Amino acid sequence: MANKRLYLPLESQQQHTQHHDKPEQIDQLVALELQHLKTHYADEEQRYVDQMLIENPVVVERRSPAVVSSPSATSIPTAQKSRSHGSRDDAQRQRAESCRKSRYNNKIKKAKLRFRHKFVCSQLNESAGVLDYMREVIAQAETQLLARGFNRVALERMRQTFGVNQCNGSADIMDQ
Amino acid sequence: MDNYTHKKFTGALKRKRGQNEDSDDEDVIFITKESPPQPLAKRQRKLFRPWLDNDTETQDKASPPPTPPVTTATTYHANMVRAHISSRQRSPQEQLRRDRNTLASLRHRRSKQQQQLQLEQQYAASRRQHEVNLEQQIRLSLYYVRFLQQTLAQSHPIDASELKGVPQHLAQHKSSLQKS
Repeated sequence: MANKRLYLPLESQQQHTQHHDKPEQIDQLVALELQHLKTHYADEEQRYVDQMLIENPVVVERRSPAVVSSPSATSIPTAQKSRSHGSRDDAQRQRAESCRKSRYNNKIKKAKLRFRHKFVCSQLNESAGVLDYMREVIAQAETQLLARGFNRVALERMRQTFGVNQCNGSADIMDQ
Repeated sequence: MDNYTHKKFTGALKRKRGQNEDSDDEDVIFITKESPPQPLAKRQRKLFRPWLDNDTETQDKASPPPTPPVTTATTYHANMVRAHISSRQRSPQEQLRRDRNTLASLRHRRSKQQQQLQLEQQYAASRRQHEVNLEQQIRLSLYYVRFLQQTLAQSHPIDASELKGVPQHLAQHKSSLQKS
């Protein structure tokens, strides 16, 4: 019985394989796995950005020395004019502080984008390389299969089922 | 970028400068909107000073001022240039130098903003392409594991070892895909 299996024609093996690998099932599997990989990528990216921020801290120096206001330090204003001056100074200090905070946040945002861009470029290079290697290996296997008399049309049909006929567009991005 | 337009050099501020001194604007070209100039005293009353609002409120109640006409000078802009309490009088040459410097810094800021935007777009495109590559890797792995390898093994079991082992990347996908 085992020997009979060796001599089964390739066409019947194709039908056996096709029955269990419908395009919808393949797409479902791919979607699930892709979601896992995307989540993994996002985690890795965040980890990389945090690490880079620790290694390259963003510093925004004060343009003027910080004034720490305390109740005991300030004298109680008696005249209305001094009160208005005090409130004006407070408003100016508050504005300066919020400006400084805004500048700091903007710097952080720009630095994060730079790190994320660096990370995605490295990942893209890697994934493009992996893809090329996988295509080489698969081309070898297909050549072997065809050499053994496998039907080319059936092979093309299987490629369509698994959706592996998409062209490689990574070269355009990497050339930028 | 000879005809650089920025709100700082249009409308109210241009009118104010034009009336205060005779500035030599041969090198710096301003594109101004068509609007009648306002008297200096009336403009100064419209300056944005929120810290004085409480103080002037009581004065306003006693003698309500006439409602000023709504113009670009009187409407509030978030990025309005802050008015200093004592505005310094500058010579035309000094003002020209300041204007040139301001224009140069505005141009520089705009170019930086464009660079930033370009970087964001590049990042988005790269990320999309990476996700496409990942999807292709998954499909190729499935194709290899579920079809090619099995078919080759079934057609000639001895030849399965000729494939020089399962590539590492395909093996990683294989273990996760076979579980599903």
